[in-house]
Amino acid sequence: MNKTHKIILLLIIVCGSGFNRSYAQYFTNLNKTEDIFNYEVKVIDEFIERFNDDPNSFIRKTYKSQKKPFTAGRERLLTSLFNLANANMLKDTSLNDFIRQVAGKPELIHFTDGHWYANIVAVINYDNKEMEVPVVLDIMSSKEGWSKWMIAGVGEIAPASAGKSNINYKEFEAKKAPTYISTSAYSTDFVELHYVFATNIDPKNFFEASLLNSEQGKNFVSLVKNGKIHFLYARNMTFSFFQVNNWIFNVEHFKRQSLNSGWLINDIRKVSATEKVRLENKQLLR
Amino acid sequence: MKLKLLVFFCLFALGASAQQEAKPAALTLDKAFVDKILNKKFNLLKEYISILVKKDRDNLENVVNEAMKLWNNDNKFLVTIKNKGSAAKPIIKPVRPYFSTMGKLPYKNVDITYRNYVYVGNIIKQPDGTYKGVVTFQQEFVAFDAEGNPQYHDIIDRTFEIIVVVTDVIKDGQTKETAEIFFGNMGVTDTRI
Repeated sequence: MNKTHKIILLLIIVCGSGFNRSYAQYFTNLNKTEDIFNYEVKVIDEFIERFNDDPNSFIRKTYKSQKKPFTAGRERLLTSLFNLANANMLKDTSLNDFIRQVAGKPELIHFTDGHWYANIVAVINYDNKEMEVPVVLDIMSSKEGWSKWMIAGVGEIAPASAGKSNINYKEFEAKKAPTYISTSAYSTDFVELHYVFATNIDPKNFFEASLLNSEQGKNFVSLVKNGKIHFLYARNMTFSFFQVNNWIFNVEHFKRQSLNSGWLINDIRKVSATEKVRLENKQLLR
Repeated sequence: MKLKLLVFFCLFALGASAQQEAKPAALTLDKAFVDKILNKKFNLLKEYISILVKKDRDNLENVVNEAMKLWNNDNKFLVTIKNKGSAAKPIIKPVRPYFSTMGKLPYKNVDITYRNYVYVGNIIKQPDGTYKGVVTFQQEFVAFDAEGNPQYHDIIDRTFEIIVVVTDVIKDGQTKETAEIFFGNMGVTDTRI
């Protein structure tokens, strides 16, 4: 039995254990390659639109264009956004509460709203040594209608755990300083940070004010402006969501040939309002 | 015309200001429109890379200059390629040097296929007034020697930015909006050799 069939069987078993029982109905007339492509949650934008069961979501538009019926409702779609290969998650019966709450109210999440974060490990050249530092980014949206990513948290700089890269940061020195980190930067693992960790930046364009006012933020920006830190690449990107009432969850990427692949919830917990505030501050590495 | 109507609809639907001039926070472009533009640009990109690999023109620098127009001549944007078997260590190059390396590859011909373009989510307004969105696609690259024997083959799943520049154009005394789409930074989610 190959891996795809194992996951399909797991889904069918799960359907009987508490998740939406009719998820198995997805599998009629399965065209393996095409359906795997259609079901893969390819980018975090797609995760958000599927979470919200946006009528313009890629998956709904694809089925409509192929004149195939798409009978999945919000509860089924929400189920499909969990990493169903995570055995611990499957045992957690409170997830039904989450699905019922989100589908019932209904609750939506939004890309351009606050209270969700991109988490990366930035591999850097620090004083000519390859090191790494956790970086947390969030979305800032203005009343003029534009949005951008901002650096909201930086962790401790430590020796890089992966082997040496061959990236020469000197290839990326921009003649003109950039003024923002694009909302689409997540799609390229924040490669734009090559131009952000640079001596000619205006820090307030890229770092949240609360971080700039902290000792951690001041130290980090000082290192950047003095040319001690240069971005090489980012790895281990995940996303953390604090937008749903009483719940926080983390989204990770699962690359596999399966209907359950791409960006999926791999960790979720129910929290009180007080605990949520505490955890969100912890999220910002402060 | 379809885009102009669609952009106008977005302005209306998203509650444009009383002046009717404020650009909306997000655009939803017609999929057929985006596909048509991307088809055209990908065909050009294939042509340029093919010329560079074959090295059958005198002035390859002109070809690189033409290719850079796909990125609106902005060399700030980068191409990332992950090493096979080492997902944590990408190779990152600015676009112009990437094209220059195409001309130095030891092949005589190349066959490139771009497929499965998927434009997902909203195209969001940036602080400089442009709009950016994300497209995923798959690139299959096969390189051949002078005898036509395949020498190299890979399939890369990519995500990349598209940059939509919306400008006002006055035509027949009326102000209308038109949009151009350019490539932005390109990333990689998977490489199979």
